[in-house]
Amino acid sequence: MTLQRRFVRTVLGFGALTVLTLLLTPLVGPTYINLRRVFDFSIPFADNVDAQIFFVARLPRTLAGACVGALFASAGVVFQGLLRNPLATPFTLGVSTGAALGAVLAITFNLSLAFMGISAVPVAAFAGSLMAVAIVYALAQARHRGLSTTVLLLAGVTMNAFFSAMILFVQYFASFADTYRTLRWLMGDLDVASYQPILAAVPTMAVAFAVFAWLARPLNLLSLGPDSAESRGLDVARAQRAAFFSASLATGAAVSIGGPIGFVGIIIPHLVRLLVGPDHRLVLPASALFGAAFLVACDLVARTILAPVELPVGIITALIGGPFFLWLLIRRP
Amino acid sequence: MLQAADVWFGYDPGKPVVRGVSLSVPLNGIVGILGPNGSGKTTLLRMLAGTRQAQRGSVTLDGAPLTRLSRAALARRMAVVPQETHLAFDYTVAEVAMMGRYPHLGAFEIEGPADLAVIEETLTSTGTLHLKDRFFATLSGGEKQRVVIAAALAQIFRLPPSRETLRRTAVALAEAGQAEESEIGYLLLDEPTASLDLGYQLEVTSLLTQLHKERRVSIVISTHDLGLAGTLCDSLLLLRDGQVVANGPTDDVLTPQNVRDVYGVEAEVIRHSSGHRIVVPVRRTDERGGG
Repeated sequence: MTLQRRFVRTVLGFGALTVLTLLLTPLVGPTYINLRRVFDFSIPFADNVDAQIFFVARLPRTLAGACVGALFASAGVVFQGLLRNPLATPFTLGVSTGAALGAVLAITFNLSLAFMGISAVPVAAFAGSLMAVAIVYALAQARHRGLSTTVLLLAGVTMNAFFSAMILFVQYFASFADTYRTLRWLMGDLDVASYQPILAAVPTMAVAFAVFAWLARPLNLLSLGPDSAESRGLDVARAQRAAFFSASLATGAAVSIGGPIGFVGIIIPHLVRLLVGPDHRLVLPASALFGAAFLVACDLVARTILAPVELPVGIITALIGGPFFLWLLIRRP
Repeated sequence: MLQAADVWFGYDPGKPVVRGVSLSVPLNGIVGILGPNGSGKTTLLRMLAGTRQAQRGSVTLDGAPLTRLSRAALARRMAVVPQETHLAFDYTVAEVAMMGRYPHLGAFEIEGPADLAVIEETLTSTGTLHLKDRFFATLSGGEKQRVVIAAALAQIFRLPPSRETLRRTAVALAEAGQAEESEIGYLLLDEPTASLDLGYQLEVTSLLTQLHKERRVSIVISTHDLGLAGTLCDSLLLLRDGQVVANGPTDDVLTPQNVRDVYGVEAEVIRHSSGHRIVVPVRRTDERGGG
């Protein structure tokens, strides 16, 4: 089968799964809603409880889940290809936590001043992830042959501890209510309750996905190692910079919407590679689509399993992802 | 013709590892770069491949400095085979070979039937077509090296021109009255057999001989295996501490005197009836020139 046909099949297959998930999940929840009433525009919105639940609570939450899932999963693919290590993800590298620090700073000190129409939270989250990525970049440059799993995981542990400490330090100055909100957000929560965080992250998402599309082939070559990639005609330094930059953008955007939700960036790329093989031109779009469906489905579990209590979705992904990660560590030679 | 003229390179300032080396690789030539570990072989090869830029002197391909050629244009003319290839993910043999087509495609272009035909051809000529759907990581060392060579060939392989182009070229050639030579590319190999068992070494060397003879590929090979270099190469460059000790036809370079000077080993060079040259190390001398 030619690659064109495999590409079309992959995108259609995973696309159908995602569309189906996105259509069905807003209908499910602790409160029954009547679809006909939701779209009955003759009832004023203020009196239409079904429409309010659908448009104010469930739809933005589903969209947030889809964006965050797609971003984390594809950023995971890019980090793994770039660092040539299947265990690299925004979460394990500490990049998510770096982005969270940026976002927490923006939230706590109320940096709502939007400059040039861009909200401060995604910008601060991006700045945080870029800072964390700069450290990973320096590490990768110092070790020309790529980061070993040991170095990578140790660096991730260190960075996570460091940024977590900074977050706690910032929390020390926050009020009790703010602390509770931030804590819940840090667990990874998609209860956005408005379209604002999603819209604010749209520009960053657009740039990140555009660069990802360009990166697919360079990432294939980088799997050979930098020297071989260079001799095949790839500008390795430029591809690496583009990958680091776009993966930080994606992580920043995802964290600004849903907080540092873990393990999506490792579960999804691995499952996708088992299904479609390692070619990044298939893995990247499939991971973005599957990541969206996966996180939305996890969020459905999070908000229904203990209904009417709604859990942060990060708890669900960590419960699935933790054992998965250990299995990967054990399986690897 | 691939030429290096008085090239210098150092990774740390003030400590050059290649010092003023000049080398020519003619079309359809097969040149060996010899020397002990750390003598600058790999660095010189990287400069020839254009992945490191000479800090002094210049490398030219058919008279044009490599720095003037785009990466893709350069990659279409020459390919590098490293000592070992480790992949980060489980690619199949066909996918690895397909990576050779990278410089022939646009940023968002997908390999077409013509590219598939190319890798089928290069996998066939390296005797690895039957491994096409196997995972690269599951192959033996010799098989891996042959697949990487197939990818390298796919990289410098020009698509057969369409019938229309052929007709026009034939007319043009008839008018100009000369044969076209530009189909041939360069294969640069960095100790391609160093991590292989004896059997796999032979497998790779005989493949290189065959490619050189049948496909007129020009080859540059760095190695510290004197026997391999002596058997395979028309001409040799002998390096010590980044400097040229000898450069010329194999028989002139592979002499007991040169072996003693560079390796500090008393040796005999014997020509076997099979055409192979054998270097027999007899004993270590004390006059090793360092390095």
